Amino acid sequence: MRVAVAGCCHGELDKIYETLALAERRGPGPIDLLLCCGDFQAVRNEADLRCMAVPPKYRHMQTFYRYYSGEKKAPVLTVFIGGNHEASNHLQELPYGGWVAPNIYYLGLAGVVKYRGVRIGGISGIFKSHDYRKGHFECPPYNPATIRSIYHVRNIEVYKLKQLKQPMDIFLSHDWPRKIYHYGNKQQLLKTKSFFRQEVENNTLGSPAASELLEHFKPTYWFSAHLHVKFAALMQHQAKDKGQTAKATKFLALDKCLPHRDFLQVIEIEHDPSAPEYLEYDIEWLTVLRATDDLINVTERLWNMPENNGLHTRWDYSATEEAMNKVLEILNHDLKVPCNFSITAACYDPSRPQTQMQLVHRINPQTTEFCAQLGITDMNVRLQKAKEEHHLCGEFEEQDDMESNDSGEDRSEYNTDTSALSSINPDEIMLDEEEEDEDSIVSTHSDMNTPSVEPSDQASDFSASFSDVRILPGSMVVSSDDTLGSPDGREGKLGEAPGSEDGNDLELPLKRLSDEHEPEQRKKIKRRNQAIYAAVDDDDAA
Amino acid sequence: MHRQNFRPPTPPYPGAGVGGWGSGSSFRGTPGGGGPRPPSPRDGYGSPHHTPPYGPRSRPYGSSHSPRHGGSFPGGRFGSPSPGGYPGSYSKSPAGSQQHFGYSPGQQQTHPQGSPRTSTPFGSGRGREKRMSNELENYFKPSMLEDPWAGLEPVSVVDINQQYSNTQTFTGKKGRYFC
Repeated sequence: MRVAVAGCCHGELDKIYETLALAERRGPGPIDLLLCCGDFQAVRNEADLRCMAVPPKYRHMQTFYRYYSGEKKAPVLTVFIGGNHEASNHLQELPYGGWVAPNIYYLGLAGVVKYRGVRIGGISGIFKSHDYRKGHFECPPYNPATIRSIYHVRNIEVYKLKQLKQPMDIFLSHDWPRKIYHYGNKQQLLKTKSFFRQEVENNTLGSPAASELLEHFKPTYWFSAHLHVKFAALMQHQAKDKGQTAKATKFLALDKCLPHRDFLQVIEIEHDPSAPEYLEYDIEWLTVLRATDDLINVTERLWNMPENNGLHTRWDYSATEEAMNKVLEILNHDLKVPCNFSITAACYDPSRPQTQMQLVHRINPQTTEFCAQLGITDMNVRLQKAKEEHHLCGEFEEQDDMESNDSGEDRSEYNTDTSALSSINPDEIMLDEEEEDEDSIVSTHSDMNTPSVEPSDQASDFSASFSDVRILPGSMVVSSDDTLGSPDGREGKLGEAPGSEDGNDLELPLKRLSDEHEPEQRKKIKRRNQAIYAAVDDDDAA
Repeated sequence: MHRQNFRPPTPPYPGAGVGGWGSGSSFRGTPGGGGPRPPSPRDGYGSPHHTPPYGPRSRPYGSSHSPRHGGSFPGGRFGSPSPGGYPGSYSKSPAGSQQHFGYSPGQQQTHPQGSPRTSTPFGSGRGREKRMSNELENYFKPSMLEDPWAGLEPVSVVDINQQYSNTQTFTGKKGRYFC
């Protein structure tokens, strides 16, 4: 079957579908499926728009709302994952996936589905080490920290995915698996994106979580986006046993949807001719969801997933035959993903814009139905209960900041204003000069007039990030760049000092690279409970 | 639960010949992925072989194109045309047409950036179609249909790991999974 893959959508659904149509006419035939690798921007209304972590000047309604309302219909089954530019409140309603519009399916925080027998998995968000080991504690209204942390990949999703044993045909991630750049034309990549060089050489560009999943699944295809460049790679995995054929993964990252950009690719993928032509649940994945339901964590406290270290009574949550049969029974042997989309939020009306639309933390009926059927927990219900009891969501007076934010739109983005939408977003990929003129939602350093950057809103993340870094395993290699994130590396708390000092990076043309970038000025951080972590390290080293 | 009344897609497509699927294609299925796949009691959704509930041609979930006719599937070879010269009839009107994408003739087209156009120097209909077509050509690239991995040689994980193993910073025991 023909599968189209899109990079960062940025809400340009009309353009993507139109280009798809043209590709069909110019190519060998109709396209069966569209996979989008994040930054989908399923923005239904003005409230959703406010939950998107972009600078105000990039906050555009785009075209998704027309598909939500039913005015338009996606011409091809569309499956997508989340990135770092999303209507986070909307996607939050569907942690296990669901329809955001007819024929447009969100995979959830992580998810696996089947289409015509092809197994498609994905993980939403981007990796950020200091949020990785937190629970899903965020809920609307978001504050400057949670509007970003909400799309940071969590350990529990990786853990659940790693329980899967059956082969994966296609896997989607928004950010790239770390080190994947070594498996393609790296020189060409660095010619196009020269500011990646340092991080590529240091092996810090990309997500270690995605890298672990790539190693685990060894899928036939892996598609990504995020870095706004087309890059193909062919990775030959190590054969498990001698004599066994080594698996290979075809990796492809795509650009964002703009004219003359490589944002779309049409691929021929083998499918099962006897498999149905509708989206199906994946039994093994549902079984793992049921098995891991007790692990749901809606707190901000850092935690580690169970492992066989004497501290946990259970660490294997893989799907047994019996458990899978139980799930089949629950579903009455009908794996079809129900077509149960319904409009639950007001849709944007261009003739009647609502600037003061209230942000509501919703329980989505699709999630309710899914959780009820499987007997698992709706995280949002848990969050709401916790919120009522303990005010855990870090509630924030969004409205006031929105007003100040709009008035400050023309000021430099690099100020100490902690309002969510005008501060630096360290998850942004910085553009090189040739892109600065484009109307891109990615923030650029062209606005930056002063090297004295003090985005203090991120400071609170720092002590958490250091403690986080100390405990991460070797397989989840986190260099000092993960916490400090300047393009050229810098001294870190770990004592690894690549040599970059304060201010040096700011003299560069400011090519902020990966999603883990943190401004240079936050080097001096007082660590909480420093003595405790030093003791832990001593134990780990033993 | 309320179910949304979907506006069915209207693009016409040729008669839905109930052709067999490719018989020669090999598929590395996912064994035991979900156990047996019995026929769904709701086969109307998304299947080209059945009349869906919304109308004779609509497919609320799934891709709205006719099934392939006979012959063997290309078998994964990228870029080879479907046997039988399947005409790309999947629903797509020319880029200039507004029908498929939900625009009503005469309805004001709202540009996402907010500049409505009701007339052009070229006339209200044809000029707009031409402009849209030109704009669309800027988005499409022939490379979108080409094999992105053509010319790439597989690179071994073992080789890369050996090459870069001394640049990693380990913060915990090697090989210990610590999520």
